[in-house]
Amino acid sequence: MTKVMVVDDEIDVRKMLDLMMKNEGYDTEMAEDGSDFLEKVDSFNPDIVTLDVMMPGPTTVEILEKLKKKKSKPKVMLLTVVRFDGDEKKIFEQGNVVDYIKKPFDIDVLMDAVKKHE
Amino acid sequence: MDKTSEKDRISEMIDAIMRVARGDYSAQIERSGRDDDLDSLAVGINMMSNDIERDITERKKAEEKIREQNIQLKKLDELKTAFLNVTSHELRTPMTSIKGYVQMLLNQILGGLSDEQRQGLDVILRNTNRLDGLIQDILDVSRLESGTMKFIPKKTDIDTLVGQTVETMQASAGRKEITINADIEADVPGLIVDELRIKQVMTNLLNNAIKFSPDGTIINVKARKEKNDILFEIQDFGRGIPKDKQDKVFETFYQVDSGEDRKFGGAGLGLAVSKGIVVSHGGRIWVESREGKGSTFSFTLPLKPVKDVEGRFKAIDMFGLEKTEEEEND
Ligand SMILES: Nc1ncnc2c1ncn2[C@@H]1O[C@H](COP(=O)(O)OP(=O)(O)OP(=O)(O)O)[C@@H](O)[C@H]1O
Ligand SMILES: [Mg+2]
Repeated sequence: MTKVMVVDDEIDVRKMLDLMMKNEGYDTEMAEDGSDFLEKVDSFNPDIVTLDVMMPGPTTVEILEKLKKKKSKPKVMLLTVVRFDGDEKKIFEQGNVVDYIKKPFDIDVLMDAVKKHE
Repeated sequence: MDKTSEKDRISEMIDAIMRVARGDYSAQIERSGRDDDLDSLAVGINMMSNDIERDITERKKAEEKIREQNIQLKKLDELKTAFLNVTSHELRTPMTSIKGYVQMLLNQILGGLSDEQRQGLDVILRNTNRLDGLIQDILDVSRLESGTMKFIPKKTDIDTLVGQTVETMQASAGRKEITINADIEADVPGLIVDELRIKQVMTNLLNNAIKFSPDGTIINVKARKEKNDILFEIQDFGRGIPKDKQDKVFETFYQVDSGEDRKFGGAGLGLAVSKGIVVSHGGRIWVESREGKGSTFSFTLPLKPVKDVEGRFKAIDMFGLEKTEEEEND
């Protein structure tokens, strides 16, 4: 079964994403920020991570840097309210970012993207 | 007066003038007290250096003030940017969970729905999207006005850009049985622009054209090369805009018929945002219209991209150059 990890500091959003993933039949795990995610990632070993941009604690770039040193190598989807330019995307993509989803999102857009990277 | 002391006086004066020329305005010549031409010259030199010194001090003070004001403005701008980023995040977060749960409910993921429940949720979703659009527009206007909107220019194919935009508008046009005709000049050159932002402009103009036209009419979309620009036109056969309101429609929150126009769910921001985006790209936007006959909104984008896309709109606004642009179009 495909494993999805949901990382978001907003509890309502986190639980909602978790429910959406479970409903599609994915095995899920939640983390409430970057540090929590980095702690849990190797034991859960997800295939896909939905990572919120702009959480308290480590920045997205820092999280992605530290993720590189982990055993687990999930594909990362960034959930964000901002647009990134080419240079920023280049940095993210070195950190295994495969997609960008704009918040607030259409459920179909999100689920299609997750399926694509399954 | 003997020749040598006269010579000394003259060389003293030359000295003083040279000091002034080099920027030392403290140069003063002691007066001889004799009421002769040389003494008048000394008085003149003293007055000159005093006046220059005063002018320079004043100018330095003014410059210092401007420098301080600039620092203040920059701080204000930074604050505004930070504020906008936080606002954007804080407003979007609740929208994310509202929109997500409504969609889950509507997809009946969380259980079956009666017709009434479905209708209620449809209304919530529609209004959530409307609110999200409004938040987006308000943030865009603020960013444009403070010169902090981020632009991501890339090589863009005009045919694709227009085609894709028209495509996304077909559904809402269809609801009013409105036909959109697109006429793109063959071999129209590509542009280096922020594609998403230009699509946003076209979407705003098309939305308006649909909104303010009666059922069953047509809308013509054209793009062609004209001199050093690409010219885009969106022509409708709707209610038109009175002559004296044609400049005003580009102002924030302005609506020709505030009672009637708000019923469509708009806030009067679409054209203000569009103008900001076009002007940032170095283009112009205007309208030609006759009441009861229809309107043609046109905008240009330069073939040669401008360098300072970001902040360009603000800069132009600040120096009041916008006015001359509007006047050109009259
Ligand atoms: N194609 C058009 N025909 C007639 N009137 C128009 C047209 N486009 C704009 N207007 C007038 O200009 C006003 C401002 O347009 P603008 O797009 O800025 O705001 P809006 O459409 O009312 O709201 P919003 O775009 O924020 O949803 C409109 O309310 C309308 O009165
Ligand atoms: Mg509008």
